[in-house]
Amino acid sequence: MVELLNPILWHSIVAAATFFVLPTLGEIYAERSGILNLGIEGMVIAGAAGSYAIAYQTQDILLGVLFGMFIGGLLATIHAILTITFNRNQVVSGIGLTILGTGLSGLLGDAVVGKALKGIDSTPIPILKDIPTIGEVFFDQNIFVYLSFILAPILWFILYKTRIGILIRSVGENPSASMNQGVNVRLIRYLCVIFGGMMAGLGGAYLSLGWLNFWTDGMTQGRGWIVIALVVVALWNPLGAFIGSYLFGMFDVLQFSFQHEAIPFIFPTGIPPSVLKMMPPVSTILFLAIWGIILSQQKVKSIVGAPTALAKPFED
Amino acid sequence: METVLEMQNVCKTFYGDGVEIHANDNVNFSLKHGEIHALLGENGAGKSTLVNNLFRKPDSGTILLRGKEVELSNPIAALRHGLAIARQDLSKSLIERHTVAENILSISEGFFLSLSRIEREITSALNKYELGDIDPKTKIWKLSGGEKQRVEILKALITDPEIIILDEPTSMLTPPEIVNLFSLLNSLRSQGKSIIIITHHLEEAINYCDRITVMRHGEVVATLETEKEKNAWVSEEEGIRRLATLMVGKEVLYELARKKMEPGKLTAEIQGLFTTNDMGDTVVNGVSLQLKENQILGIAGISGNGQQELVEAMLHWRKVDSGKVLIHGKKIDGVSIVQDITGKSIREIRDLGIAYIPEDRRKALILDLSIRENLILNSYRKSGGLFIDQKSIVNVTEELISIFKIKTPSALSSVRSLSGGNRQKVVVARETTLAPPEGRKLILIAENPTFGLDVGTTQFVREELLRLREEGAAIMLISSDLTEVLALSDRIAVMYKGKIMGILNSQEATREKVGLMMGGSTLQEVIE
Repeated sequence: MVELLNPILWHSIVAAATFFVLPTLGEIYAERSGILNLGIEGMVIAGAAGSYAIAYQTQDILLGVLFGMFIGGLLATIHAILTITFNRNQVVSGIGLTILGTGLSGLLGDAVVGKALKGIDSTPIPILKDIPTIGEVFFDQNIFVYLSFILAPILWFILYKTRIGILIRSVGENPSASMNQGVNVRLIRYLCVIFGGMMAGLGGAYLSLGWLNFWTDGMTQGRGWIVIALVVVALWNPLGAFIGSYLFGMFDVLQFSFQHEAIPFIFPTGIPPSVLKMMPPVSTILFLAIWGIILSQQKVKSIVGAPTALAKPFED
Repeated sequence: METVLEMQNVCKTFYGDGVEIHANDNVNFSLKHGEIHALLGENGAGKSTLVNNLFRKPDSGTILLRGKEVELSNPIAALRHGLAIARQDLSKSLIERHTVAENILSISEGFFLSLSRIEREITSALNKYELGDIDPKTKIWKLSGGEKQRVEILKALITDPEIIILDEPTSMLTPPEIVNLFSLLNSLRSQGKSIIIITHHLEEAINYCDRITVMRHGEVVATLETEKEKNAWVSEEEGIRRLATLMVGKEVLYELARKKMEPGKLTAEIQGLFTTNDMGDTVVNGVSLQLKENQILGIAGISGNGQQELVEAMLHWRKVDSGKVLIHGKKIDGVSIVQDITGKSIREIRDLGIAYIPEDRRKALILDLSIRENLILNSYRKSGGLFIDQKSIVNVTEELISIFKIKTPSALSSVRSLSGGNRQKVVVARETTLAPPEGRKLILIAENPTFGLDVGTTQFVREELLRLREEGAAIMLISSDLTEVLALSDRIAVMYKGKIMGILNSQEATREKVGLMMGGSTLQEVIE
């Protein structure tokens, strides 16, 4: 039996979940402003390759991370220009962005495939790390993980308690109404989409520099797509980003631990890896189906549903 | 009096579907200090476009504020110059899922959002302007149409503007509320504010406004001083007729010849109907009504009081929670057959000879199909078999196009290429020629059938309803236009918050009585 209470196992779950949290937070902002960006996978993978390559060449991790965010932001800017300025179809542009980002990652990471680089060490937080179990699981991590702990509540506060927050929500709900009151709809949407791209790039940098410490082609294994679903699971709320992300982090890690578990009658010789690999996508679909049923109620939708103007072109 | 706002040679053109629409064509307009100025015109005359030029630049022309030329290229610039507008289309002006306070962004400032301060300001402004009791913490989707309209008006007033523009502010208000609004405007005028009010209610313009500018086809046709004109008119009716003629460009016949008719036999009946809206709230609360042949039953009420849900429940577009819709059939062997159509499929219901003209024309037409195809949506099944009987369809549709005077180069043009009036004619042509089964007369449900139509088409549709009535049809006319209900109906049921407040016959129904009932008074209270 797998030691489900083993702190080392949970330590790696937190590490895996952080990868989901960062891009999810960014995409929540983009979607709150009304722009759907399906290019997360492309921005993440290009960010991962770009940051690893720069960090390897310059031996400066921070520079690598910043470059990863820059790549993410740059790709998101392309999406912003197409969808906000020229009102192109958001789905088509986003998928194009993923293809572009994947291609770009091959180019950027070509020289550093399989090259070893010492990644970011964990920085235990004094006092907090001494809390039994919890300290070991949550507070003996690297800086990215702490960043996700801090960013989520900050982003929640900005969205709900500040003026810029209500402007972002208004723009995503009803751009015409916002514009009529003198809000610069395009500017706010640009900022949110670019911020979303930078967070995706940051997630990519975490993947290659903070978590797995290597670069190879296609290393995201499609995790970027799951982020799109996580935004729905989070109900477009930055604090909700944790719930889905940790759940998927769990699947990500547990699929390796359960490989030798036998389930009587069904898998007497252990669960085949292919079945475990299915877990994240299958649970994504299940989650979306359950959410879909809950959100089909008009009343529920009007309280916690998707931003009303999400993915709708806006011409003033 | 000095002129505060002047628009000179303003032009604005829209491009769509291969046509250029000159919404404003060299328009000149001036607003004096401390006046209420009505902007009159039919739908599409360019009134809203004209005032919108103050919030985004026109294509050409100059705008002078207190004699100085200004460039108002966006809503912020207009706000800074002391202009504010309450818009007509609330779906593009209010954010349904946000609270009242979150909707009034113009008074928020700084980095942090102090909702409690904004809420206090809203409450005190509501009291100051006597706009009624609205909780600033309520989400917009929970408000009634009238409340939303008052929030929109408050949104304009709260910035304390010098120039206030109200675009059709009375469409969702009851007659007493309209009187209140104009007394508010009066007091604002005495404080030195200048007000532009866009309306198509001629009596509002005559009774409350200092000057009236009439627009037609994107041009200003006249600007009148109300006092001066009033002295020249014999009566208010004459004034209304004069203004209507200016608006339309030709003499309008406003009189409708409603022949006296005895009500025929009972043909449809609604018994204690309850249904909910999309949000799951009960919005039709035990409505019982009877439709008789040769009779028009008018349903008066501010829109959003459950009328739409009532119709949808009758036609199986919406689930009926309890109650029945009965159709009284012909007599077989001396026994009259009563059919319960609650929960029947739409096709079964329609096959009983129930026609429907919805308010939203997109619910009645497939815009990208041709006029011919749209005209046979009710009857294509009659051909039987796999193929459509082209020859008879061509004959039938050509006949309908000529009888109903649908202006189109060809029956094969798409409905999208038609003007609003002609689109409605297609709907009316199709629905009113629906053939009821043997021995039954047509039952017609018409929801705001003249909404947004020009005067000519409005007259046409109303005459059509009266003609059907004479032919024996039972008509249920749901209209938020009180004048229309009063002019056409034999009996008038007033709907308020999902209940029928009372039913009046055409002799006893007056604008005052119905108006009070639209605001929630019962029939008894009104009679006393």
